[in-house]
Amino acid sequence: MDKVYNIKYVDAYYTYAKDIKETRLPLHEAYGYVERNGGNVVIIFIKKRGTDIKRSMDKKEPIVKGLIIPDAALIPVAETSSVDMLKDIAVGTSVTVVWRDVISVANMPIYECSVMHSKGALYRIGNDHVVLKEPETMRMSPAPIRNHPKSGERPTYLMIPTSFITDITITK
Amino acid sequence: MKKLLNEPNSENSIVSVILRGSDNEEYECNGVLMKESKDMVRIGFNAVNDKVVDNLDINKSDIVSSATLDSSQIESL
Repeated sequence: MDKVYNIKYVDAYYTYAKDIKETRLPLHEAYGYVERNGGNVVIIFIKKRGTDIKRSMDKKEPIVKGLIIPDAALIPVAETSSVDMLKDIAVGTSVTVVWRDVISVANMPIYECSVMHSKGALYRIGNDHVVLKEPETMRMSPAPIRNHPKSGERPTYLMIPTSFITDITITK
Repeated sequence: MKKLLNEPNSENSIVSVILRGSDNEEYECNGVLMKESKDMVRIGFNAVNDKVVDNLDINKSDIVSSATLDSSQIESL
């Protein structure tokens, strides 16, 4: 029988609020079966009885219901990470951030996190997250490439865990 | 996740459930027992700041078996 795990992690979030004061990453907590796939943690909420998750992953079979999170989302990893790329970028600078996002999966053969590109003004650099103002985000993978959020309505602020960030460039 | 059921206990009940789906296949899931009535149980999988955001309602007639897990059966990641 597969082991059952309790997983505590962080995730990005956005808001449509006109102004924000303090920002803090909420605590996420899940229960499920777990399998690692490189830098991804595959959390299975529902699976067919007796299914071997590793074998399903290798055969790219659909996950009945689950969640894929970056391993950097796990607490305490996410709370202690820092990004050297941020140290020379001033608040207010227009930036493009490439980051890995949590993805919820239902009846799909997805075993890797989403990859996001967000453009916006660097509004705040927190201990464990950055805040982009008026971000425009595209989900680059999995296909199809699309706006995030899907509605296309641009949030006013986006909070990204620092540990999710793989690249930041200054936007001209 | 905050205490969702079993008021006298300080801990949530974590349950493992085998259920029969509408396709007649058997499925397994684990989570917090959020609610139980005569005909149904609600299992929570995922919460944000203690608020459950992913759950499943299961008709008791579809449950093949269920068990309450103790802390020794649950690992932290």
